[in-house]
Amino acid sequence: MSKRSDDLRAKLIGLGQASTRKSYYPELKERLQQLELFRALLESAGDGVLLLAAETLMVLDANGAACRFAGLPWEALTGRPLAAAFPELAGWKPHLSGNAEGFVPQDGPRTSAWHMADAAPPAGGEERRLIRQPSHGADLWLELALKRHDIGGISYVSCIARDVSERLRAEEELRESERKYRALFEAANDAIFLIRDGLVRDANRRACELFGRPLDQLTSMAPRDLSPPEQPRSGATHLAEDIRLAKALAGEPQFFEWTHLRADGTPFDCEISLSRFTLRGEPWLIAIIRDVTEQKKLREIMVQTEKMMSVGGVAAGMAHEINNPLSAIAQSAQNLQRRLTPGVPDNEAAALMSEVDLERVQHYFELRGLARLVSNIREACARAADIVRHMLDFARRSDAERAACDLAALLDRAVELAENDYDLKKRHDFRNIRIVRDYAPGTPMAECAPTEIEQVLFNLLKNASQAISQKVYPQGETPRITLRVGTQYGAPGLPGGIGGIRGVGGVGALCESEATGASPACTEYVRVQVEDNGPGMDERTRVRVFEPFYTTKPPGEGTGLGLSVSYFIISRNHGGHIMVESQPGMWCRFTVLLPAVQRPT
Amino acid sequence: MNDYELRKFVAPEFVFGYGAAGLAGRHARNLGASRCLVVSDQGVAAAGHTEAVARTLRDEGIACATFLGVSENPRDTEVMQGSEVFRAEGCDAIVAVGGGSPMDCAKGIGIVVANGGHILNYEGVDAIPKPMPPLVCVPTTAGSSADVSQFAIIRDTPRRVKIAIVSKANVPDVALVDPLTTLTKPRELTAATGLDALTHAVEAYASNAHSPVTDMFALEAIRGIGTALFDVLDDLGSRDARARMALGSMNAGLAFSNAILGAVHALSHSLGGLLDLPHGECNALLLPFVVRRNYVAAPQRYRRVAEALGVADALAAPDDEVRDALFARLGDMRRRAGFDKGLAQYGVTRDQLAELARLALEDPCLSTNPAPLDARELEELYVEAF
Repeated sequence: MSKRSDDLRAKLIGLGQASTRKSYYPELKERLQQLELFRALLESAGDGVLLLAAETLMVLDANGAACRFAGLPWEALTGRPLAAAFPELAGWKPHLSGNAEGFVPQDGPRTSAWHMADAAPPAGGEERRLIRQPSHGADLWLELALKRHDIGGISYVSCIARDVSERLRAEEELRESERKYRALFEAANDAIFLIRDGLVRDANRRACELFGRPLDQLTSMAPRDLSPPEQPRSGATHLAEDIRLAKALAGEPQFFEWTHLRADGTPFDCEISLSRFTLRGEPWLIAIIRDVTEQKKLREIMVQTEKMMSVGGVAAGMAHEINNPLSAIAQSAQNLQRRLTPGVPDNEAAALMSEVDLERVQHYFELRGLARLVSNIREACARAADIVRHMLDFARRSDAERAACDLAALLDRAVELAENDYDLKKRHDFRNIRIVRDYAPGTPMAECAPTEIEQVLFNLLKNASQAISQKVYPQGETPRITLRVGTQYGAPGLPGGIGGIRGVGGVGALCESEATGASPACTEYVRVQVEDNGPGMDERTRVRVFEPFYTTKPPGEGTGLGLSVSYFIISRNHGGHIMVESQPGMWCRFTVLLPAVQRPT
Repeated sequence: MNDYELRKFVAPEFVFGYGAAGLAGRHARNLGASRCLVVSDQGVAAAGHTEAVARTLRDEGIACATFLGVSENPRDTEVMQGSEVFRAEGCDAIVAVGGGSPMDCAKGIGIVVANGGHILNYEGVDAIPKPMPPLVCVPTTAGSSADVSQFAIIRDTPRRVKIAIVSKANVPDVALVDPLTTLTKPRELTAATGLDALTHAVEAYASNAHSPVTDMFALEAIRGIGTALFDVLDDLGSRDARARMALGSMNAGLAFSNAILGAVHALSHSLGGLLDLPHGECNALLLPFVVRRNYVAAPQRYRRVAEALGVADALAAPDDEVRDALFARLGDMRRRAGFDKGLAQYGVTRDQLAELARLALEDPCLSTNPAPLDARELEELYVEAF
């Protein structure tokens, strides 16, 4: 027999290599290995995996992570309801379509040994839930995903529990960080823009205030939309802007002065710091915009103060030097007059010795008007002495008596004086000016020398009536002086100051805000305002108005010293402030601030 | 009772013939084995059979772990030790090499590793829920026929009884019956196992659960063993005689595994359990007395047995003559095989007989005995064999 038929025969009679009755064992072993592998995979999973009975939510199986989350060993976890693992789920049922409520079990579980994996479509939906799970350390946040499965005619629910504590914590930290930076952003006293692709994408509260626009208006505007077409220093706005933005984007931080516009169209000066940062891979710019209007004004005031102080010193020195020759002249003129006067023994004796008749000499003097000339000299001297005395006042500290004064009362007295002043009465028609009083009740007293303050207020009234006399009033408008007395917290030129920075003084107090004015760091001032509706003054005049000898009046009318003296009385003698604002052609307003007497707290 | 009542016939896939043992590796591989527990005993290992089978496994790329801790009348403790080895070695199949003891122990190990718990939990019939790993049996004794049977007899050491674990799950996947493996058996063992096989055949034929199919195997077994046993004992090295003996034993096994046994085994299990007496010798001693006692319950059956054993005029002579002749014949065979001790000489005492009978009454084999026997009758049989 051939080898081949030998083999065939061997196989036929069951003696071939593979002639063993078929066993499922090898196949089962392979499947078991797969299951073991699968089990090992499940066990190594970081997510908790639980298998539940669909109707009762009884735990049938669970992996290591699930046991860890539940804090129970496998033996204790299986055979118990899901709520035993996750107490928060007590009384809860997932709404998986066709789930337990609608599920009517057949007569016993229908098992099909040869259930084809693709024969039955997966039944039921998926439900997710975030729960807080008590744990030994910090509580865990678990995200549960429940899904229904029908296997072999039995319904199961799989539950995947993912520990999302880390993720939530990171998200919370991110939110906190976001809140922190948002707070910094919003609390900044400078306006801040975040700019991308040349447009403002975010802006802080201060920016909204500064530009007078709500956030949704600012965002999506370009910086050029918020600026005048021309920049005072750098020409066309759009060109300058392009250059600045490009340089900053190139990583070169920019710091420059700029003029922006408020929503109402008024320009304001600012300093801008522009630098780049990267957010999610995109280049952004951060613009920090500082309004320097106040700083500029402060600078102006400081310049003026310097000037006033030096001029005051020079004037006082000059006055002192002039005083000696002036008194010599006055003395000599007086002596000249006296030595011509008849009846004086020495004059009579000298005339006798000179064989001159004193009467006739006098007659000659009369004829030549010499007596009037001498009188003129004496008058001029008196006038010069008066000026010199004023000038000396600049340098002299007042030793007048100080008292707590009601400034409203002082103001009324000054008005009374003005009404009775000859000059004002005759030349400026003071009585025809309407006086409007706006005195805030409860205004505190101010510590001051009343005569000096009265003089200042009188000066201001006089100034106002003189200004009013220069204006031709249109129909319907009448001369008016408005007098205001009130309280103000904080010094001008510093945060919390109100009404602009127009005065100077040794102000050291820092005010947090107007609203918290009771803060001891804030100085309380009594504010007096004298406002006329005269012609006002231009800016050139306004900045020089307190300088000695500066006057707009014709020569001989006023010395140009009234406001200078007032300035020194207020700022140097009383530690207060005096300032002036004006709308040319409309009004002019002087404001005096004097420290209030400390009220008992 | 008629011949066509419902009957089932369970048998393993088996290969019979010279060199069948060499197919162990191939069959184990086909059954999916990758690491086998080879269960055997010291005697068989000393004869070289264990290593020979292990070599065929290794030739197929199957790793082997060997467990030799099996004694005659395998004990529950040995089963548990073996299952520990199976688990520890990560085995996935069992190959038994040897006589009834290693094979029954191997079955026990299979039961425990598949079902867990203790082997004694599975006492009784059809009490094994899960099938065991693949089991290949290579018998070397031509007697127990555990290689084809659904029986596993384990000694319960605390209670000192032999428990029967009877289940279709006990039928091995493959039996490789190789007469050549029996060549090394010493004379006494050859005799004892031969008589054991004869007992199997006689009890299966007389069983109240016999069937036409089992009858065929049983009668052929009785006939074959009746001549082959003494041919072997005359010439232990005769391959032909050994093969006939192996075939007879296998036929007996196929018969009794399905027709079940009778009172001889019930009584014998009791002796083995309580006193650890050798199974084959006990069977040989008790068989004539049980046959004589049972004869009246199945005279036609026993006449056939007598005929198969060459008793003259067995089908025609009067019942009592045939019964006595059969009784004498069985006794002769036993003596001729070299056994003539009574129970007393095995160390059994009179006062133990009642207890032995009580235990025998519990044995499942008694349920298929042709005559219903009570404890007193069982004790009488012990007395007769005393």
